[in-house]
Amino acid sequence: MVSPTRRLRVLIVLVAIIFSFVGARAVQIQVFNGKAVAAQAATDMTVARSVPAVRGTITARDGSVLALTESTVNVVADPKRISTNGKELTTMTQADRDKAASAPAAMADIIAPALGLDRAEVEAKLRKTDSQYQLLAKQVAASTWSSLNTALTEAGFIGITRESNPSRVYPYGSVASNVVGFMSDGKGAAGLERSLDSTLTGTPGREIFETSPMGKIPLGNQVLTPAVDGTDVQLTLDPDLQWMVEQRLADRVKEVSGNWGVAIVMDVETGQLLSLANYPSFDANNPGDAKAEDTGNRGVNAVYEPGSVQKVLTLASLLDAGLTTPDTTYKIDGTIDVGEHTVKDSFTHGPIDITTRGILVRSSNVGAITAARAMPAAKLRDYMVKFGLGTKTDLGLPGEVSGSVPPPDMAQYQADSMAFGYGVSVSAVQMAAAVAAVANGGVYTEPSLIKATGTEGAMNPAEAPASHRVVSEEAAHEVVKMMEQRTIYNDAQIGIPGYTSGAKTGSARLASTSGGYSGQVASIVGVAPVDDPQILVYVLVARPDTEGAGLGMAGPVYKDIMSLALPRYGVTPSASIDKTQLPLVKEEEPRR
Amino acid sequence: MTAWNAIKQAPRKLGEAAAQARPTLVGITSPPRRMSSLMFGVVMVGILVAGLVGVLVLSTALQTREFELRAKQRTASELAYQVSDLESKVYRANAPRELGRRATALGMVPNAHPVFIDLGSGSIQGTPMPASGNEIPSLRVTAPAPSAHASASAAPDPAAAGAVDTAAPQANAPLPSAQPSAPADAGAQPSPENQARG
Repeated sequence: MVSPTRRLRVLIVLVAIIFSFVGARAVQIQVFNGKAVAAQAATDMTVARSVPAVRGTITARDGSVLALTESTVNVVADPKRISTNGKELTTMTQADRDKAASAPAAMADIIAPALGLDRAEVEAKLRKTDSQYQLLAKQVAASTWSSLNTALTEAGFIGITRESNPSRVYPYGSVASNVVGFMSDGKGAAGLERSLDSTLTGTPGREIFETSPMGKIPLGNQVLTPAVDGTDVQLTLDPDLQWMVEQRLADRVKEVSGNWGVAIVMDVETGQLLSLANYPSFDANNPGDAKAEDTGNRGVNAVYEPGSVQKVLTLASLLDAGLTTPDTTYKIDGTIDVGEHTVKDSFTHGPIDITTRGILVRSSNVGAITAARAMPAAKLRDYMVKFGLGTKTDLGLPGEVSGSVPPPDMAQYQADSMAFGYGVSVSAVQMAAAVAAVANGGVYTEPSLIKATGTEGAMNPAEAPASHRVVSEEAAHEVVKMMEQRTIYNDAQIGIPGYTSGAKTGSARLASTSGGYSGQVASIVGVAPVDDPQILVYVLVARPDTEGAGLGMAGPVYKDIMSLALPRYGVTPSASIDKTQLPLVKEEEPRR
Repeated sequence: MTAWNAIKQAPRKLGEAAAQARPTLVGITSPPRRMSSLMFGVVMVGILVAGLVGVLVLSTALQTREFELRAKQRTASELAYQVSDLESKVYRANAPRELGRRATALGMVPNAHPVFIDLGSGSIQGTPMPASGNEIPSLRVTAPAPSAHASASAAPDPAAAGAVDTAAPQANAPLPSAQPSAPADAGAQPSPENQARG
């Protein structure tokens, strides 16, 4: 018989051997294969998931939301599950089989009207029993999904689920769509959505956690790198005014069979764009319906020769340089030689002594050229550059153009052309900002479109736009007074009831993409009230032919927009309105 | 006494002291009885069962909390969807065109000639004129209300979580281009056909 002591020793040895194997295995796992095993375990247990960043909203100056990300869902079906009504095939009763057989048709009756789909198509998808994933509808509103889900649940059907698929929506549709833009394939494709894409997008976060077959392990390792949401952008645009301007512009361009139109409303003192309207425009929710050329922004993309509106800048420069006064007269004929060509006035006349005021009011090309020849071409160019011509605007929109001005050593015919609005090219926003400088007492302020940026409501005002003086306050005021005379000359068409206002019309041939000229752009720019201009309105209407001019084509739009904008911004009616027409030619008597 | 004498007498003194300090005999109690093997087994099994039950209870509680958490997260998700949906509806209803449509339906007309009332003096600035309704016809909207499924065609968002198929309806949508794009030739001489007319 083995003694107890001996038995105990044998047992201890056995236990030691067993634990030696365990220890050896532990060393093998922990020391020799430690990293590989740990990595395999981590891979098996750990799940990493991207945490999406919410794209920033684009709002108008009053906080109205122009673009936001809506939490919409895709509605998907699991036909395989529907075919068994969620039960094991082997345990299904005859009643279960009958219900499963009729489920696709009955479910299609519920789903199709709820999602606005074709019933037959829905049923066909639900009958694809070899599939576990059939996309029924994309980006469905949450309320629609909720109603559908309730109806299906009450009817006892399963197999229809949702998956998150947020959509970018534009509640105001076509309002400011040429500014806001749109997205395509998840990226900004036009407008600010495109140019500010990286700012709006934000940075996705990441969530890493351990799982078991039962789901997330409650006390397991979890690492959450939060997403950084995109930056919100607030614009200077007034959405209600923008809509009114768009409506009025669209009606007019259609009425005169124009090709396109642009209307700008600007705060004279701050340079902020209150409205930047385009026609044709598009619904940002359905940009695919629009023509390619209509999805940009002609206010900053299209360049044209400004025509007679340029005379505002030319005369402001001459007044500032002390080379003329409103009553200075110029002896002119109906035509003048410029280089190899002859330039004529749009109104027929013989030799007259036209005043500087008359040059602006009657839009005399000959008079503008004659007056401008008193100033060296390079100096006139310097004034134009200070007015912002030839320098790209910095609104933040894609495709902003710089336009062009002739070089400092330009030929005289180029300086002559520049004086009355040819030989230079501008964008509409450039021209509006240049005239706004005259209305703003001679101080040019860079036009701006972005008012503030920030996140979660904490908005930081945009950097104040740069400004500089171009002409003296006196010269600027004289020009505005001359513009008032232009309004008085056609008061019925472009006078703003209750307010003093000044305007300048223009029309110029449009450069063709194939060279030469094709059609024309008729325009009018106006400011009000005259004593302290607050609002500037600039309207362009492009036509395929040369019919009409700024007064008739764009004048009615200008008048309505200015009439709406002034009281909207608290500009009270002018106390007194003097409609005396001051001399346009030498020794002409003032007319009331 | 010399040191030697002291050394010689030391054993005798120690014997006397030992005789005086003789220990007293006392009774001793037997050690406590060891637990029987059966009881030991019962206690160990009891501890094991208690431990298992504790682990089971803890696990069940955690799982229950996890289910509650998931249910609440699902509810929060559904509510977030509803909030987003309702916000979009409010924004759409707030659109100028929609307000114009509703105003027109109510028989309202745009007034292009408002006047100001000085609350201090009660004076009126401007000339009050009745609105005929024909001042700016462009602002009267007679189009029908947009359809309820308008949002279904909206553009997809790049932040689409779980998006499986984000092929947008406007995937081939055109990119903006400038029209007309040809800048004026700054060096061109004015020709009879490019005369500015005011």
